Amino acid sequence: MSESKRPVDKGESDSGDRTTIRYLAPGDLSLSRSAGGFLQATVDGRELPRVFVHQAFPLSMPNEYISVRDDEQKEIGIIRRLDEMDQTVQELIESELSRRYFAPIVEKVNSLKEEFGYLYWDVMTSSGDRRFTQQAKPETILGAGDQELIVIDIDENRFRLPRYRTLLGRFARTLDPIL
Amino acid sequence: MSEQSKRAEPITQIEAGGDGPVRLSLSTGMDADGAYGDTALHLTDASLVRTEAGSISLELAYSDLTSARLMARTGNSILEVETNEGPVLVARVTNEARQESARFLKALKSAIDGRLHIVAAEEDRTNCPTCGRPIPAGTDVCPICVRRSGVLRRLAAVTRPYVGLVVAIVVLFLVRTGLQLAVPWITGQLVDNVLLQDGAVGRELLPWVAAIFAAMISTEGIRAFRGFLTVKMGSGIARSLRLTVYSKLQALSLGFLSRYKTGDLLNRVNRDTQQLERFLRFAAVEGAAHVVLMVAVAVIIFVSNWRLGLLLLIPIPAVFAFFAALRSQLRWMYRKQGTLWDRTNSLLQDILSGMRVVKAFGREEREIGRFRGSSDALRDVMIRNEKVWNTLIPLVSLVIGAGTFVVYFFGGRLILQGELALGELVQFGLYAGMLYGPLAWVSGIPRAYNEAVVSAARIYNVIDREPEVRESAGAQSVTIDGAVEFDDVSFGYHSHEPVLEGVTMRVAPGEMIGLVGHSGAGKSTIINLVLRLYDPDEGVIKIDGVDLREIRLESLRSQIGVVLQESFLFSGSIAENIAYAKPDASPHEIIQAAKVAQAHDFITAFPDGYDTRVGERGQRLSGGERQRVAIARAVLHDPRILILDEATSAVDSETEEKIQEAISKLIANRTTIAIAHRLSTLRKANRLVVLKEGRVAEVGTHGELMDEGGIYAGLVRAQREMAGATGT
Repeated sequence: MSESKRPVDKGESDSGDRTTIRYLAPGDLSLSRSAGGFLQATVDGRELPRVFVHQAFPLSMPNEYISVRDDEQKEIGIIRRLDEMDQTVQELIESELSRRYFAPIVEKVNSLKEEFGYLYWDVMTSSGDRRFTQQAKPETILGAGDQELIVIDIDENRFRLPRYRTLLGRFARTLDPIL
Repeated sequence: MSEQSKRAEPITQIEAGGDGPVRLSLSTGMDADGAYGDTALHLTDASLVRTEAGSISLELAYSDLTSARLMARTGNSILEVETNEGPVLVARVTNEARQESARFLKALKSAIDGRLHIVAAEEDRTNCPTCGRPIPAGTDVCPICVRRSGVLRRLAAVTRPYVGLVVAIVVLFLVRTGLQLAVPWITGQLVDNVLLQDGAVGRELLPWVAAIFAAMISTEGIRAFRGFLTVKMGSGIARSLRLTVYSKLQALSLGFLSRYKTGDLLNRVNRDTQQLERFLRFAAVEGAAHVVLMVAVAVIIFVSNWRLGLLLLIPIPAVFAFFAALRSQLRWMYRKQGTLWDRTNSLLQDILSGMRVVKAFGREEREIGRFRGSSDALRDVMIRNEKVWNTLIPLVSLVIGAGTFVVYFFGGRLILQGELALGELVQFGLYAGMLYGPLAWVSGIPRAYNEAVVSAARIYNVIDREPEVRESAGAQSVTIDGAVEFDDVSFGYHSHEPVLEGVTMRVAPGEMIGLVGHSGAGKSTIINLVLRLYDPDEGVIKIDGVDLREIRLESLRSQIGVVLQESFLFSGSIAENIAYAKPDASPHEIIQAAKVAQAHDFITAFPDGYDTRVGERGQRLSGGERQRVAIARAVLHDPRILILDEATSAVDSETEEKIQEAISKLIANRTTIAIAHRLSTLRKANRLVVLKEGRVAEVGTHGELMDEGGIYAGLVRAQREMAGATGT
């Protein structure tokens, strides 16, 4: 019984050069907000009415390798390190990223209870007070760095828990079986 | 559930400004800066209005808008509109408000198109109507509020066919309890009437000892027999439940099934039914036995000496609390161990199935290291758990023995004071042991009961489910000629994510249509709708002019054949797989079908020919071989409508040639709807339908579309360049 010998070619292709990475230096990119509230950019003198930013490593390196894309989702370039960019660019990108990856930071855990395989949280977050439910399964927790956890609730909302051991305090034990 | 996700109160008039009554409102759950709060959107007759904390912060007239869309992001969605001056961010929406926002968007779009139309709200299944907590995904049951009595009543109904067994079990159990209770009494009599009697001779011991012996033998015999009956009852009930759930799963639409993970459904068929069986066997029957025994012992103790009885009761609450705490500690320990087990298992499964890659990249050492890490963690937890366990067990015995100490101390004093006979004390001690023994058991019943109720609820959640794709009362069997018609069809797997929007197309009988488009354009969805695995949200699909919903499902599907991208073969022989849709096919028919599918030659070359076992999912065959067996299956099925989904995606060019040849024989005189990324495979199609973002973008022959120079022409060009670049 033979094996298939050729890799499968799938999906659309594009004639443009997709193999070279272009890094955007501070001078290459200027950003501003449109009247409608979206990001617009000027790159190499070219005006782009709307750009999108994606983190390549949202969990492990949130502030590095940020892909800047045009309206058609074609990559314009990658920002190697956000902190090397101008202050305005940094601020605009950070606020844009917080829209794209909405994960409020948990500041205080009021209570955490486990019942029948679900964890019921009551927390104070950077976005306000919140109660949410998480399925008590390891897949609902992402590790981001040594100290930080991201908890995904049953609606796929995400919550960041920096220095989670300290933050959880006596509730650490409740979360422990799925860590 | 969070207060934020509740639907906005429908307000009839927006206070400051606004024009006319509000037709639909949406509470977004958050503001544009990401703070949870009181932001809402409203549709009036003429404009889209945003309010924050009650006051208007944005107002856009429909006449200034050209389109609207909801973009799903991580953890939230963004609702934006296109105005004459460019795009405007209207609101950010939390994930809980997603479903409502899809409905809102639909209404907004209709308003932009000139006629505000509001579809009825779907039932909100995300929150428990009783406690308001979110109902966990994958179930419709709130584990906290599930109606326990109702579930139990239904469970009792399941036991009805076993009522004879239940009665027998109860009788045996009563007899056994009587015998158990007799032993301490006989022992007491033995002490007082023989051992303490002056001049008693050894012969007098015999009847008493024999009575104790007989009681014990009978007790154990009855226990064994009752155990056998209990297993018979429990496994019978579990079997009926499993079958009911399984049959229901077969009847339910893919729409329902795809919302659940395979593991979750497996659990409902297997684990939940098993859990119920265990509950019925252990908690319901054994537990009831223990409770009755405890009560009987308590009564006897109180009747014979109420003061000693009272003393015995004192430690009971403490014992109860101890066992309850013990249980929660043990559960926590074993949950942790369970998680680590699962992790180690899936790591192992992962590495074993990827062994070729591991070896090809020479990463064996690293994989051993990873596995070692996981195994070490598991070992550490197991050792710790065993340590705790082995410390607790002696403690448990001590606590259980506590009652006996109390009896001997105070009873001993009563004997010394001449107020109690020795035999009575012995009898008391034995009863005390019987009182405390079942406590460990009884303290576990509430939890077992709760778990069983949740399992039962999960099972009934499937059993009670009405299939979304339902056969209407007047559905008819038809002989299909092959005309397929889509009339303004819209559909989304989730209501907040439309996949097809306003698709209209007609396929003539015997015609071959090729569906073309980027991934996610909606090609496979069209096929799912033709098979009526789902019903469209809007619009109508007709076959030979008859609404799909008026055709009997069995009649419809028996006349449609499919060859899918990932040809699924069932574990069994090649012959069985080819004859899947026609189990009574003769060997002649099977070979004939295989020949048409260009599969006969390779099949006969196998040592076991058509009897070759294909292995789980057909893994012992190559991709091209599986594909041709699947084509043979479709040939034998002889459908009126044929669906080919990327039938040649997983094969080399030589095999592709063969498959193409097989397909061209298969499609003759049948309506065929084919999907292929490799556009060359669609060259036999009469017409091509190009989809873009869920809409029909282009329709025509290959030549026409190339002349048009649109999306299709672009795709063909790109593939040619790619082929040129890779030298294929």
